[in-house]
Amino acid sequence: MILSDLSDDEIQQALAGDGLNLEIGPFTTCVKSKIPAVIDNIRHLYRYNSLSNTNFADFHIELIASTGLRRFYKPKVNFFFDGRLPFKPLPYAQSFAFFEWGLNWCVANHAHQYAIVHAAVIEKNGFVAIMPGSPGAGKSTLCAALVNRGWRLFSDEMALINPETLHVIPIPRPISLKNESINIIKSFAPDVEFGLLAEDTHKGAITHIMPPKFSIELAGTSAPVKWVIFPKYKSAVPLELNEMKKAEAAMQFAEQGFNYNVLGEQGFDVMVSLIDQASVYRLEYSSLDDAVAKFAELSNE
Amino acid sequence: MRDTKFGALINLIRDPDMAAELDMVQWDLIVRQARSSRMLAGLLNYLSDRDVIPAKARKHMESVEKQANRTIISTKWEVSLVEKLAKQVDYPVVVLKGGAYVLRGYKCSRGRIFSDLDLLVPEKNIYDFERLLKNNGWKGEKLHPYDQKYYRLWMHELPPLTNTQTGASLDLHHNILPKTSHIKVDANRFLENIVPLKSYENLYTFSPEDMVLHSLTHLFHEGEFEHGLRDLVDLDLMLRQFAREDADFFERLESRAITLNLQQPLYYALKYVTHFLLTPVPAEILERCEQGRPLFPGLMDFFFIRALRPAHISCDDKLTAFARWGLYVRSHFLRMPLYLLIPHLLRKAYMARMEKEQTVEV
Repeated sequence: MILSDLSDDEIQQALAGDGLNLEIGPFTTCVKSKIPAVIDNIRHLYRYNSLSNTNFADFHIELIASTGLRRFYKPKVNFFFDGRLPFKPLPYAQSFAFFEWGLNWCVANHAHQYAIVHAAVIEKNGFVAIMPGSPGAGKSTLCAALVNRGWRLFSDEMALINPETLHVIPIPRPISLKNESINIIKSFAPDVEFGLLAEDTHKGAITHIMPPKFSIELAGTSAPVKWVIFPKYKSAVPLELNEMKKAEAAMQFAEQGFNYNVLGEQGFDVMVSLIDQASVYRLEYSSLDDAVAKFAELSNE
Repeated sequence: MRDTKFGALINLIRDPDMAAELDMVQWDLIVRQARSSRMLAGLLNYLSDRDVIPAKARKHMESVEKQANRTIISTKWEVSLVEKLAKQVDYPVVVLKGGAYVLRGYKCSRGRIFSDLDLLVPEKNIYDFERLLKNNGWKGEKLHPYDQKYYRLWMHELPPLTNTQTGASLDLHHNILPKTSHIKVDANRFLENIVPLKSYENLYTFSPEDMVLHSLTHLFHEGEFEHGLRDLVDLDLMLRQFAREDADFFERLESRAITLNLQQPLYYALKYVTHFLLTPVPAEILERCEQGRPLFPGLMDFFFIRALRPAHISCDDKLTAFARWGLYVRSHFLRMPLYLLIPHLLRKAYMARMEKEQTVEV
């Protein structure tokens, strides 16, 4: 059963009551909230996700708006992780983004069965491309563009790597877009579905786009890594794709590891073997069309 | 306790064989209660057959176990650095608490996550060892002069030190309770009984009975019960292990408690470890420990029984927050006599207020 099998009222009641157990990638997330923007975005952007039938949730998340006089003056929202507050409250307008950021935190801190790397991950013809990214490198925008040109979305935020097989496990979720990227993607892919727009967050305006349906349906299918590509958006430059030295790539890759220190030796082995078996590139681009064409070329090699 | 929600985790610890019969709703609750009690990986000490744990639940335990295994590696590394300095001095350096459990390989060290290494040296040598640490890569935090005074004049430990290379923190003690504490403990009595660590030079731990007494004194004197159940479980594991290895263990524990003036904390510990975890303690020992009974044991039950439950929303009743707060306040009274405590708290409140005014909300 998937979320859209439920009526709007049923979804709202579940979110306000015992919670909605959503299958998100390999995790079951129990979400509760009475905040309209959260209800709306979940109902819309997670509509193809399965509902869990096990009664066991990996993460218990609740978003609650501030009460008392706070409601009227600069209202805030709290993120509860199983009754606890791992973060300070954020402005109410960011409620849904808070859910997404909070869920990233849940995964990065509680799933050390995987080597977790901060990266966008996409798949074509059975092989995965990992795009590790420091903030501002444009990985989310590039990822959003590629998944609207036939690539399967694994994640715009994290690569979950199985340390034994070195395969990446998909955790497809709405892709977050900020500021200028929002209009860039709107004109690049006019049919793409957007969630609600939250303005005035500490990251500027933020919104989320719907992942392609087949990405969600194939969320159970992992794949090996063929490419590791470090993207860098620059304005008005011709596209350049250069092979990187493996040692340098391994260092940069490890820097993006969320749980590298927890995994220790195992983490080191994963990073090194993965970089060793993949083709490793640095990509500089300013035109999304050029970048997408280059990726198509790579996938057909 | 069996059928109530808050017993989910405790019932499993009491009777690990029931693991095979639990459904996913129960596992969901157990994982959550264990996580908030910080004993998700520690639970594996009781569940010897991992295959009976459903994969979904086991993954969470093993995830924390990985973190805990890092704790063991980094603890051993920090200890090896300390050993280089211990070799240079002519007084003993004692590893306390979690570090000691790890070095002794006790069962309760498995699955435990802790970040501080706790050491004890004789009081007359503490500034010497602090200087040695500071000359060799450890540094103190910048503290307000008042806080410096608080530690150095009244406490049983110095302000925390940080290893500048690894970021690990280290607490240097000269006693197990503050100087101002209402129970006076003679640290020399502990030092008389220390046991050398075989593969290290001039490093020691407390003897098993002293280690238990230290752990339980800490639990029943401090005001932090967030991981009270975890600490109680440590005691359970130690008591079971030590009693197995030494038939006279409980006898010696009880007589050590008298020598060290720790009968009351021992009374509490044995009372609640048997109440919650059914730890096998000989009846005559329990009877003799009644000596340490407080004036109003029923009143203390009200507080401790609530505070020692898993610190999870499913275990809280209307009075839990009050009980935890009450024990927090109690810990302050135990720490310092009123004529010191009241000026101290006023001073801290004033300092906190000044600090708040200096920070600007972003």
